Amino acid sequence: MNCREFQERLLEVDPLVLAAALGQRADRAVRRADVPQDAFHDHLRTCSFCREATERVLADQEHLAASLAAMGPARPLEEAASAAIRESARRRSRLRWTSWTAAAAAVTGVMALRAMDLGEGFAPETIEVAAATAGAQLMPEVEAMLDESVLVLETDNENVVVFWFYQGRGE
Amino acid sequence: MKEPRNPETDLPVLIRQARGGDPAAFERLAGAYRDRMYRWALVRTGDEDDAEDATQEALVRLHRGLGKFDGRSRFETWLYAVVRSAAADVRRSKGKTLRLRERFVARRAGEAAAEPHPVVDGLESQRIESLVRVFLDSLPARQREAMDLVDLQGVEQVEAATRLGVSPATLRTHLFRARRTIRARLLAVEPGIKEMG
Repeated sequence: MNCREFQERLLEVDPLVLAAALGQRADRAVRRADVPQDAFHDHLRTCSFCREATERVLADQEHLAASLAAMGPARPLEEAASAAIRESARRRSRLRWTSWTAAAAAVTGVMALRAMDLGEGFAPETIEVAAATAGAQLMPEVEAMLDESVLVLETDNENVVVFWFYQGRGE
Repeated sequence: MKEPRNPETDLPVLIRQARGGDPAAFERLAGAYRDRMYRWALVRTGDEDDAEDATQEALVRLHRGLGKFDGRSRFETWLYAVVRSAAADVRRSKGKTLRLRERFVARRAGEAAAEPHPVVDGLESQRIESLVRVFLDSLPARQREAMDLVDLQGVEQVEAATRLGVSPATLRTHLFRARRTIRARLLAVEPGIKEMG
């Protein structure tokens, strides 16, 4: 094996095996006896130039690992932890609120539809508005308030469209 | 309430306390893992700001999801998935492309120059800059993660494959490609070796 062929193989070899072949301490147990006896490792043992290049590659990899390990978030831990707890609680309460709203909207919608079907004259104000608009064969443009979303539900009854406003941005 | 001395070894106690609403326990838990979470997020996103945001988002999800951790998997494996998910959402919400900001490298080089660190002593800042840039900027996210877990952090390949949700064979493919890219760059700047016959 010449140096060029060695270099080509060097690109993929497990660094732990390389470290063991070089007699360096590895984090995990790769014993020197486990190092394959092949042309690559023969070349590594006999060519000082390639040995030096291999040592340099391993050293650079260690520098890379250490540089990444030295990185950390800028925000102080205490602040980050308490912000996470606050945000977690906020999301939990928002979820509860949204669930209640969803349930209430669903119940209202079903009751309104049933009332209209049964001709009982029960029609909440919002449904009347929706029905009037839908009756004009136009789909109204609906805009939700800031931090709210709106869902427009068409129904089997062409006179009824349900507008469902809820908190949140639809995340 | 018993106070765990070592967050790593007293992890079940710490998790139970944090799950029970003890903010100090949660802070200790966060303190034990936040740097690791940041690193995972950085390697995943390739961007310092995104990594910061993803780490914070992951902390929120950690707090909310502690009750779901059933202990059947290793905590670190579970947490890794939380961080990856948070990182993916942060990237998606910002609509950014992978990039490495100049100031990131400049800051690292500046810190290395201003505060000599045992890790980087004797290593010229330009060389560190090049290493980090190649790693974060040139490799696809999956290759970065594979190389970081296995070669840089020493995680076993089977565990790394589990964390990344790929087969061990696929993991090895990512790993080999990452090594090739990184080492080819390193060898390319080694004087002389290219010319050897």
